[in-house]
Amino acid sequence: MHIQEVFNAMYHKHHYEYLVINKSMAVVEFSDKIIDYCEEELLKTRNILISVIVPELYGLEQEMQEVFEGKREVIEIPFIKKDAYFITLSVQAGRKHDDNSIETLVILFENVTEYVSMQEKSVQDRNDKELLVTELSKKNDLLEKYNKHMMKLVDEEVSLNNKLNKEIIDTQREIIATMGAIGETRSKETGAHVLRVAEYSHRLALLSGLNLEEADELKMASPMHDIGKVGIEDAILNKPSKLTDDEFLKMKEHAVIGYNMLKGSNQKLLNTAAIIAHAHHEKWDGSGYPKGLKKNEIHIYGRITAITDVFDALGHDRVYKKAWKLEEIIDYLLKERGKHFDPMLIDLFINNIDQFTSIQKKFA
Amino acid sequence: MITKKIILIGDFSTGKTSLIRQFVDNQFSDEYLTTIGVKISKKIINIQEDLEIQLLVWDIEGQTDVKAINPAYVMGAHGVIIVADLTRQKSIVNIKEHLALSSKIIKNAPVIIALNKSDLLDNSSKIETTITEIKSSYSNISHIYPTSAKTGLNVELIFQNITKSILKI
Repeated sequence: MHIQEVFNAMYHKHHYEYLVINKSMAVVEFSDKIIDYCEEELLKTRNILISVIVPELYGLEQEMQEVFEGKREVIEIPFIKKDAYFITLSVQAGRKHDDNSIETLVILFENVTEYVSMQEKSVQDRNDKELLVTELSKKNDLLEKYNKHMMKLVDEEVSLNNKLNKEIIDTQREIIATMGAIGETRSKETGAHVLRVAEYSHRLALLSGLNLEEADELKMASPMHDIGKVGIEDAILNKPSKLTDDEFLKMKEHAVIGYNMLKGSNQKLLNTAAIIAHAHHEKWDGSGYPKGLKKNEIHIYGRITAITDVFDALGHDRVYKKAWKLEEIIDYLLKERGKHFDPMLIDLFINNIDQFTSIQKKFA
Repeated sequence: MITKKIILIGDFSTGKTSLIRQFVDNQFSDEYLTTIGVKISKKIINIQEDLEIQLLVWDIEGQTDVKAINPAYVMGAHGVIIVADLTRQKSIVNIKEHLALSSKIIKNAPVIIALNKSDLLDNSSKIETTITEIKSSYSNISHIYPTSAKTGLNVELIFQNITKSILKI
């Protein structure tokens, strides 16, 4: 058997194909099935250079020389995709001279397609998974940026809304106070009266257990309690002497006039103001006007404003009277406890009279 | 004919295979298939009048956290193109690793950096900033280009210029 046939049989058994090169890097032998990996036409050319047959070895002339010289044992290039196959190239020493120097190199081709195919799926899956994680992370970053931007916009919008709301509330408060003052001015009373009534009412509302929002609402709306006076003729409104029965009947209309002016608004504040204007002359025992309501039939805002309005009116000069002393006012309020005024509110008012006199001084 | 071995290295999925396909076949596919081992393509290019060069372009499997590039693929290369993905910062940071590997195995081979997938970035100032940062970090790089295997941007140019750098012309 020819030596090449022996090699062929041996390498075929191990699924190897081979090429043998001499020191000039020219191909001198090859296995039968090497044509699966190399161009057959080129193989027929005598003394053809290995790098022409196997371009994968191009550039490795130096390394192959080192194998010839025994300085390097092997050159291995794993997993080369060659057409439909994956191969591993291995360059190692072939025949040796008697002095042990290397005469030829053998280039082995091992078909590892089956092995690589097994690897391929898991590598692809792993890379796909990693890419997905990267992509998700990028999207998350983008989302976070977007969220931050949105939050900033929302914050700006909320801040603007708050500012506008505050402006609206301030404007409403100012308009109501001005309207209240107009009403009071018509009856020769001062604008400060309505502001004091507002402050007293706020304090008494809190003492009576109303929450801050309700107390604020009352404070803002109460200055308009006498707005209906704009509909009463001057002769009655500014009459220095006692009113006749007819005049008093006319005067009493200011509660309904005020109510009619303010009711029907979409604004909660104006509705509250309507309630106060309507109810602040009602009396606990039912002897008040315009409806003669009794006790808790009278809205709490009306019962509170009734006390604070009278308290402030008695404590200040009017065209028809001088200001009362505090003791006289307290006596009067106690005398009217359960008649004109809600007894519980009167008790709270008298028990905390210092708080009200402080307001009186502050807004004098 | 003069033949030169050029290797493309870089992280996985940076577009090495797509750049080679665009260069060799003028094709691009959105489908991503992992390269296992190495695939070698040949292309003859004209550098100057009467100067044809055969390029053996080695598409080397991308490095991942769990698998490094086999040094045997890098051996004997005459030029190196390191490919990074402009949309994946980690692949840009890893240029350092690829540069260290190629410099260790092959000496004096020119290196070009391809910042690929530039078509996915609408912010050109980011590309400029990245190029400036890389230039200031590595002095031994011949050129840095934004590339797109999809649109073909600078694809021909990087292969032309790596060959010119190899031939020192």
